[in-house]
Amino acid sequence: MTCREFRREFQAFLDARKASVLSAHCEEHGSTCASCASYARSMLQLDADLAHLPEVDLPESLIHLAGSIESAEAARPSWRPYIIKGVVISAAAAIGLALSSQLGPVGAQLVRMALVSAGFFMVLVTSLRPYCVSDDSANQTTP
Amino acid sequence: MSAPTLPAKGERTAEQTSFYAIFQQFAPRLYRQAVRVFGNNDEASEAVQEVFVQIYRSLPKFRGEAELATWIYRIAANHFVTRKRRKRHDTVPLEDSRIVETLCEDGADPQSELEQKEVREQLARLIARLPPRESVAITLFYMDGCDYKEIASLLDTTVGAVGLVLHRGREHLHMLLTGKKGGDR
Repeated sequence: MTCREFRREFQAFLDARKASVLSAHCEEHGSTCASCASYARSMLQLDADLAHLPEVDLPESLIHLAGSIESAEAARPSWRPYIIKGVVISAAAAIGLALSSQLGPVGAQLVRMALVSAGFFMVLVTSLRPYCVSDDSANQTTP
Repeated sequence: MSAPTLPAKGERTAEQTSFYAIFQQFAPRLYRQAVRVFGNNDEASEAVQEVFVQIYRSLPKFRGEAELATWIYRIAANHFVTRKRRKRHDTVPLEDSRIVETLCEDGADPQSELEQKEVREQLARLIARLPPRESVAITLFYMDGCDYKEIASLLDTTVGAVGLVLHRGREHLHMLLTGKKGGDR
């Protein structure tokens, strides 16, 4: 048995939490190789130390964490209403474009222009709305 | 556990109640694990906060296909590994670190050289210097008592790979403690 094989088997032995036993080959190698015998002793000690690490004190701030996460998440802006509005506007635009083909070239052009203008207007209103709302609330709180 | 910032029990919604219950049950354990993985109380608090933000956002989508504890530990384990990977450039490479050079010379008993408590405190700090998956696997194995199969499920890997990660983790810890690599024959 090589040292590498000994160490691999010894590590598996440690992970089995001493439920298994070392093979005869492994025992024999451990009794003849000083380096591996030292390795085994160190690993046993390391395993015991890892199983008894010092306790960690919980900080006071941890108690308040749940509340702060809750309030931070409640204040987070949601994109869902904007996505729904976008889908509705796109569907309306698609229907409008499909119907515009019935109105001849001039009518179709007018419908397209109207849809593009309406689209720009909706995008502008949707983008500026959060700023308008926060400005209003800022004005209310400022004396 | 109670806090003045939390809504009173009767005023909480069902979703809030379950989040607070989960927080109370798992936060201390995840925090202890994070302290060992990151070796720093502030970073551990930040990491735990990020984990609970993820849990809060994903809770409505949790369908109960996995056990709640497994689901939470998977989120935490993956988050700790990812976060530690991001921060790795700040840490000292294992090879450059020689903590207690003379601690484990052949024939010497480490526990007789230093107080056992001191060695364990040192060891607890050294876990934070391991590569991300090794530190998380070591804490799951030794602190949470998870077996190979559970760790494999939490880290999305195979049982064989967990054995290798634990093996390497202990070897690295041994190397950090002794400041020498084991020679193979």
